[in-house]
Amino acid sequence: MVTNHNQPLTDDEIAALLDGTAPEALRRRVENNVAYQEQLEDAQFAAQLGSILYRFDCPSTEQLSDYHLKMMDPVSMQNIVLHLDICASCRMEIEELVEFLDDADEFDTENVVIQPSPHYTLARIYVQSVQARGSGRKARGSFKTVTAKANGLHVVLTVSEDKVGVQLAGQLASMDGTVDWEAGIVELRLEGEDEPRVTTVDDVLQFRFQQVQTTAVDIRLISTEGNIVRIEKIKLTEN
Amino acid sequence: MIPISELPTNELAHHCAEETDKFKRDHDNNPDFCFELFRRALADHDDEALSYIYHIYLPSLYKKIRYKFQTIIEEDIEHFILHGFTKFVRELRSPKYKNLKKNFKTLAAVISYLKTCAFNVIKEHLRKKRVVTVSIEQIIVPKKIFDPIDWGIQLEQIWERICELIPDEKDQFLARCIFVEHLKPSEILEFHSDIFRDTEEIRIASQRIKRILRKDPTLRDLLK
Repeated sequence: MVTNHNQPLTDDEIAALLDGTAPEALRRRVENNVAYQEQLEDAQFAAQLGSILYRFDCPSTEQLSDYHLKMMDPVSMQNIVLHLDICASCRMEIEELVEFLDDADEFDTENVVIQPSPHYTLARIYVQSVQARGSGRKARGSFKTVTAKANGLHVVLTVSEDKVGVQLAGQLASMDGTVDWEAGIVELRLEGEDEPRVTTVDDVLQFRFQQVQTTAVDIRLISTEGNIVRIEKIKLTEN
Repeated sequence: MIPISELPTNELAHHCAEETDKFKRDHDNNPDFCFELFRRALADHDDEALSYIYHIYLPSLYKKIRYKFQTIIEEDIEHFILHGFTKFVRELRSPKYKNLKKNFKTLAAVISYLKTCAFNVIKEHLRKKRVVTVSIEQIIVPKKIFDPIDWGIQLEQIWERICELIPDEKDQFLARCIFVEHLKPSEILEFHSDIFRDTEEIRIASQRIKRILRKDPTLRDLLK
């Protein structure tokens, strides 16, 4: 093995070596050169440190926006000021927020309808099955229960009918407790209605909609942490 | 004339949509209809009012995010908006904001807060994505995942050790630029030209710092 005192590896060469896309000639050069190997090991170690330490001491995005909107106490405000003095990334994040909140740009009144999409790529929780579990009659009207199971979540939907009309009530049960559904948003889309109806999940993980139809109901549940469950095309009446 | 507080919710929403439209066009507007709609949705937990707010404000927000974050795919935008809206409702239903009009003196302030909630969700996602991307690219990931508090302490210890190994303040500053902010030499120079002369100086110092840190067994142990 020889020690080479030529130019050190470039950033691009190091990146290619680390992600395994380096050409054969470059890999051979590194194999036969102690200095290059050392440089590569330094880079690997630095990458490991970087992956762990990324923004570790930065305020959260919420803290930065609270600072910008002046919605925090004076001591916290002062701490953010001190941090911004050294952190270009946080300064840029606030600049982006300012630009985002600027109303003098593209905002117009064109009606953009939020269309349901076939799936989500983030925090996805697949609905495994939607199945009827029982039905019956009550003194004041009929009711039906449908259970939807997702990963770690059971959703029990109960449809009841009385003088007011058909009501849909939901009860959530988080089986593994990893997601807090309290205060989550429930969006209900009914066949024939252009816009969804919205409610929130209460402190006993229930929600309720009044005067619903019972065919082809789509429901989306969104937790405050951003987890989403979709339950699509549920039929709440007997065929 | 019926007082605003006694208007049926659908009429209130109709007026709110009109006034919001004027607001967006920078015309004179009366925010009271919207404040009352927000009050019913947030303080009274009125789902009809909540649904109207959803219909009035989310389409514009969707368009805004699509325009500002063009690399984000449509499905994710929808997710971010819903998540942002959920956070907005949760926050404004908290006792901290009991008096909506006192805390948010103008309609613009309420709308800004809604936009901020969606913005925060996106930026938080991008921060996490950056960490995951780096970890995958570099193959090496932390062997243990601690609970967030322990993990925070562990990170503090790692940083303290780095500062012990490179006691010079300028070196520490550069280390933070490299490891905490992931800035490239050109970016470091752009943001801190008062501290660094040129990218060559940054490259040489950065190589020296990386070598010192890698050779330290204590730091290596902390990363295990």
